[in-house]
Amino acid sequence: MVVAACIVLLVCPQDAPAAAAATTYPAYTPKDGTAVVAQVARKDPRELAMRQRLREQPDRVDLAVEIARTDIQRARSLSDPRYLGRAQATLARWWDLAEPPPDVLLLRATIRQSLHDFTGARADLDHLVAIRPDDAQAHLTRAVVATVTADYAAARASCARVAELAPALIATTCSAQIDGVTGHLADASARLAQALDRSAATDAGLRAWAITAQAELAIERGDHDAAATELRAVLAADPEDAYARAALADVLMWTGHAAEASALLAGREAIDNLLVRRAIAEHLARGREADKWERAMRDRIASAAERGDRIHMREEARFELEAAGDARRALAIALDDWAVQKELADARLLAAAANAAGDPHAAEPVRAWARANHVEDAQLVHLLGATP
Amino acid sequence: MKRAALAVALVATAAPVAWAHKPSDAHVQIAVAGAHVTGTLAVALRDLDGALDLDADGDGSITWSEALAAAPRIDAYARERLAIGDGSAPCRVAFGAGKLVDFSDGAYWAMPLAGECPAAPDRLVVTYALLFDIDAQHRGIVHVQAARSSRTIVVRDVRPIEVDVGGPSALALAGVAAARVWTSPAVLLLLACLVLPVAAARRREVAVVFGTFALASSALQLLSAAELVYLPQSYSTLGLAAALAIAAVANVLRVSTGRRDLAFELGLLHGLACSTWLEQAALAPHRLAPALSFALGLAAAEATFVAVVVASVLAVRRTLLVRVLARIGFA
Repeated sequence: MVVAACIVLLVCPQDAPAAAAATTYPAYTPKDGTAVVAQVARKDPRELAMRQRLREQPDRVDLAVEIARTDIQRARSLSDPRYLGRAQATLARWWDLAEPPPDVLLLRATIRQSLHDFTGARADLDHLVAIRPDDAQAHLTRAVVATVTADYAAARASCARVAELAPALIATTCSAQIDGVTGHLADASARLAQALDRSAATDAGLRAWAITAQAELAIERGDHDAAATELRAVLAADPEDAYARAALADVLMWTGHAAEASALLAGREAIDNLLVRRAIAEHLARGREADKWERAMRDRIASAAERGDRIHMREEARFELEAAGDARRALAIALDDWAVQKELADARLLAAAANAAGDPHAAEPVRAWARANHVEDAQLVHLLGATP
Repeated sequence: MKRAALAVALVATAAPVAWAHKPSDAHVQIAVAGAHVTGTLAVALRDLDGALDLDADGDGSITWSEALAAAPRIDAYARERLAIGDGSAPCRVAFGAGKLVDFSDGAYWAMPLAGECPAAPDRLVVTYALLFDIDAQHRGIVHVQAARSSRTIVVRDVRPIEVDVGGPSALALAGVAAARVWTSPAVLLLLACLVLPVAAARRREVAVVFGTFALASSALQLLSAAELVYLPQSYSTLGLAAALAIAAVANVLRVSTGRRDLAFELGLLHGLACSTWLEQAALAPHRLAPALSFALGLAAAEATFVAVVVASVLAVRRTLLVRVLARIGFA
């Protein structure tokens, strides 16, 4: 009997072997062979020939520079950072040299700047303007990098060199962006308006850049109507200008037109800057797709974090503050962001997050920066209290 | 004119840009179970186009037909550039048919992978060398899942990465063994059958009988770990059942002489059966150190159980229950 009982107990199921967990992806198969499954840049026969020549003669820095430059332009026009990595790979042979050829130095700085390695970019540009003092592009890029890192003296010096080397509208736009955050807001606006009047027939891309800068000065003055008009003009000329579209969406949200902002961004969520604003606008407008875009933004943040990137801290902090409502998390990210870049958008974000988190002292670095530079930005003045 | 061209070039690098998506990533999922590895490699079609020219007609659109036509080249590319090994020898890895999956930044080509390593690895060495030569910002996100751990590593260049996939610590292993004892009715009944006949009368004899049993069991587990004896996993239950049956029959027949010999033989059978537990849990079976930890955990848990049995018997020795048990052959 005991034996029988034992045998019965024994046939009870034992532990199954530890099963190896394998993640499964939801896979699909298009029905039609002609279905387009991915979009890539069109193949340019001239570029393909150049690449072939470079494979045959890998020492040809001129070919590598031209191909890399094409990829950087492609990255910018398609808003696709993949092509920055392609450009870097093309320059791999010279990339790690302390003193690469000057053309490589400029492209390395441009790529580093785009990847938010402002320190590396600045070192390259300082070196480049020392060995090639008449390189307008080096000076202009240096001015941009120095402005982002709040080194306004260096930025101003480079803009002054640009004024000697390039058309007036470029130089004026270059310096207006610095003047706007260093106590000369009204002057900067007036000079940029004047320069735009005088260069009516200039290149459309240059005009769009200058008008966008003018709109940003209008935002700093608190003149949202003027900013919206200017940004609409830029978008009318080029609907693909994602930067201007993001700026217009901001103006619409600040003036209580969140639903309009959301509509402006609809269908363009592939671009991170536009997705974060779409999520916020839907949240503010209590739109039907608020949850959907909040999830999409969370996915985007998670996939960036997965690869160890932190180049979207501004977007992430803004999302946490304005859509997710987690002020403390927003503040922590905004502080990290401020350590890397110091543009007005970063300053406003840190000040707003500090206020929302009930910790206005956390915005002290921004307060000190605003005081030191006599920043007149209407929103920042409001966020930091009566006296910046 | 020259200034106008310069203006275009300048603005093209100075004007601010809003970026879409992240740069290029590929995802490698690897699950390790014993010497087997399974998983998936998923690479964006756009990235594969950069390496293998998927867009055959160069029109800027990759069609499903173009992707299918490139499948053999993608397979060869993956085989050439993804290697898995245990540090001393490579694992043989093969890729299955690719399928499309959508990530947040577009369609990826996902291929199942399956492979066999020379032995159950303690560490996995993964060499991921896709795409870095055409995209310096490319990252391989490698996720390794083992029996007791999982880890994700972002691979930034072609240098191999090492992931510890070995079993748990000696203490954890002993804990696993103890848990197996306390949740295994067969083992508990076997121990009860073994010690109950001597528990009431001769306490010292209990120690000798159990000690003999535990020593024999541990010795056999170590021999099994050294691959000198072998019991297929499916016979584990049968082995325990046989040991239990022998112990119970011996009790029913009231075999009183030679209990130490019986304990030794049952210990051998029990040890052989339990050696497969270590394998079942995919805990790197054929190594002496983990086997010793496991055997010690097993012996300690069994000793505790025997002590509980003896204490209980002493506490209730004159009760009706013990007399009934004695009548039906337990004692």
